[in-house]
Amino acid sequence: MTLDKNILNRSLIAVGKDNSTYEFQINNRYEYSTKGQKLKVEFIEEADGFLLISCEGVRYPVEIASVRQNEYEVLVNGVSYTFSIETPFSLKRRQILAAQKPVNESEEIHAPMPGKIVNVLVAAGQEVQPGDAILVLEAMKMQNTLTATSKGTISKIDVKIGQTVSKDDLLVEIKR
Amino acid sequence: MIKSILIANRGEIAIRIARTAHRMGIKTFGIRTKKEPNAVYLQKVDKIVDFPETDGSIPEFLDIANLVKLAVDNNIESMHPGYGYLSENAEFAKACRNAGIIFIGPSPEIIKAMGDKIIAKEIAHRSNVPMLSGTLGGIPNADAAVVEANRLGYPIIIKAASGGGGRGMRICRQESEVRPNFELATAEARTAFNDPTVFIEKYLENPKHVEFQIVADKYGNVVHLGERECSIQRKHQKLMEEAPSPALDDELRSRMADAAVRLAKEAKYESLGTVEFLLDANKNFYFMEMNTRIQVEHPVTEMITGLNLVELQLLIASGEELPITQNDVHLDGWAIECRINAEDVQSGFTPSIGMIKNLRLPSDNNIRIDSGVRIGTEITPFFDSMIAKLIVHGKDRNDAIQLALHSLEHFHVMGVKTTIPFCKAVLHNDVFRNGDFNTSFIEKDLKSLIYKEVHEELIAALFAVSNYNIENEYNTGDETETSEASVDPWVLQKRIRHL
Repeated sequence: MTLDKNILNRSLIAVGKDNSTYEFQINNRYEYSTKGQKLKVEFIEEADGFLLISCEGVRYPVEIASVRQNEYEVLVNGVSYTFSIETPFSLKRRQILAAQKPVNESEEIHAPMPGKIVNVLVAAGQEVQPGDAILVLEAMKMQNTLTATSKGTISKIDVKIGQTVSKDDLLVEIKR
Repeated sequence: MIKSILIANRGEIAIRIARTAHRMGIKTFGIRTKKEPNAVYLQKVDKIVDFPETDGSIPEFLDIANLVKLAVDNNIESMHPGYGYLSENAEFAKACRNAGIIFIGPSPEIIKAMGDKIIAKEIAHRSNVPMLSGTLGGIPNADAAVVEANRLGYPIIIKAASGGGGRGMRICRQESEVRPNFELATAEARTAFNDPTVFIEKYLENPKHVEFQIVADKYGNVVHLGERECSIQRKHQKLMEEAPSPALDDELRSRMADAAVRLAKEAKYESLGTVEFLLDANKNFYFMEMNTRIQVEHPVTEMITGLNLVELQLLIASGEELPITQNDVHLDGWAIECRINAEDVQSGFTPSIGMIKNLRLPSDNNIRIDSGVRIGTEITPFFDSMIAKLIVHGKDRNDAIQLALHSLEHFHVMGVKTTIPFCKAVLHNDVFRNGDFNTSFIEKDLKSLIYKEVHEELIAALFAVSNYNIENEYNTGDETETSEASVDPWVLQKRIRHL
């Protein structure tokens, strides 16, 4: 396999949501190392279609939930983990950009799932704190309260009570 | 004996009912709706009837007129409402009766009495069943509410007489909160239940929720089938149940069971029923309400009694005498039910919508899975999120916990997120294992809502990195080499799957 030449000794870093980092050296497709420790890795696709990752002899059921460019949401034992995958170069670039770029000026709240708006708990111009309830979305007979993650002022409300929304629809905007 | 049943429900409970009816030689009819025309439950019934075209303003399984019409038009003798939907709707039971259809459940009068919490409390009072102190009737106005609240002492709770499922309830911890909460509760009760009546009760902080299963026939025979422990709840939604309850000893069990049976006899109850109690830290118990349907968590009772509750329900509805007496009921071992919901626990239990791409179920002696889905089933926002129930039967509580954990480790769902990691977290928790928990367990005792294996995050990072590596290695290489022949079979498989 000539292809293996391309990936020999490549280094990739998984950056978690809480900025925890896991750096791996990829020796070849079945051999990784992290923090100087070699890991023997095998992917097993089982007859019924489930995917297992076997690492140092221990098997874990895994699944890719979503991929957006270099952002991966994966499930291990049904537990979700999100990482952005960086090369040493792109990580450096990311850190430099983060230092230069001003903080995003507004937070957009999108519908996490399709459903019906059963209550809007804020008005335009109202100040909110992280954790404040913004609106209630009903889906699967369950009432889900969507909350603000940042402090700011409600600058836009795009929905009314009783309105049906699709996944990812913009609902409310908070100006920081 | 009843000869045919229209199952006015869907999902796992429709399958559960069909299974027993089939074994008893009763013909089952399932209802096909436009929302899930290929649902699994439709394969388990003898005959499918299509729900008629409507303007869609009333969900199918809440549409009394059309459901009754379906039964009449197809000459179906009886109606099984399952749980949820119209199962505790007196109007539905009455509409069935008026159309000459046997409603599988108690009479409309009993459903109405138990659905009205004030009447239910009166029955409990007459049968000398302990209750939280409070008013027996409704509260006429805010002034009366304040007087009553001050008499009881705080905290108190204002409840809608026709409420249920955690709706229409307001807790007051001091006098100043009574007036505004009385107005809110009354308004809420009027819009939600079309009945503004509210009453006041002493509020019990962090109780345990323990319920007794009873069965009663029309000849006055009432038998209890022991209790279920249902304190693992989030926002009044039960997530894991067990039978028996670790909080009860034989003496308390027998006192509570006596109370449940007394109440059922006083109400002239008929069919399956569940008497719900709250239990305080000093093991005092108080009547909360009576449910007049089959419960989601009924399998744990079936496991430890060896009885089939749907069979008993169908026998009673057919007018037969109970085939068992109290002396025939023996509680054997310990059962736990884990509700597997399509929910994203890590995002606040939000519904997880999508297609079940793959499913692997554990199988073993002493485990039972009641499920309404299969590979290819679409999880939609139209219905509740429960996709399966895992029920295990151990020889004692520790054995049941181990069996549940072992089974969950072999229970895999691909395509949607589930409550499996949550159930594992509960089963691993020391407070749960000691059996000393109450309804505040999830808030107070469960440090992490999900169970993670050691090194799991590292494995997740490794998996993400390896995928990125495989996806991207060819982009940097010579483009001409990426013909299918040179692609690793594993990568090819994956690409095909993602097409």
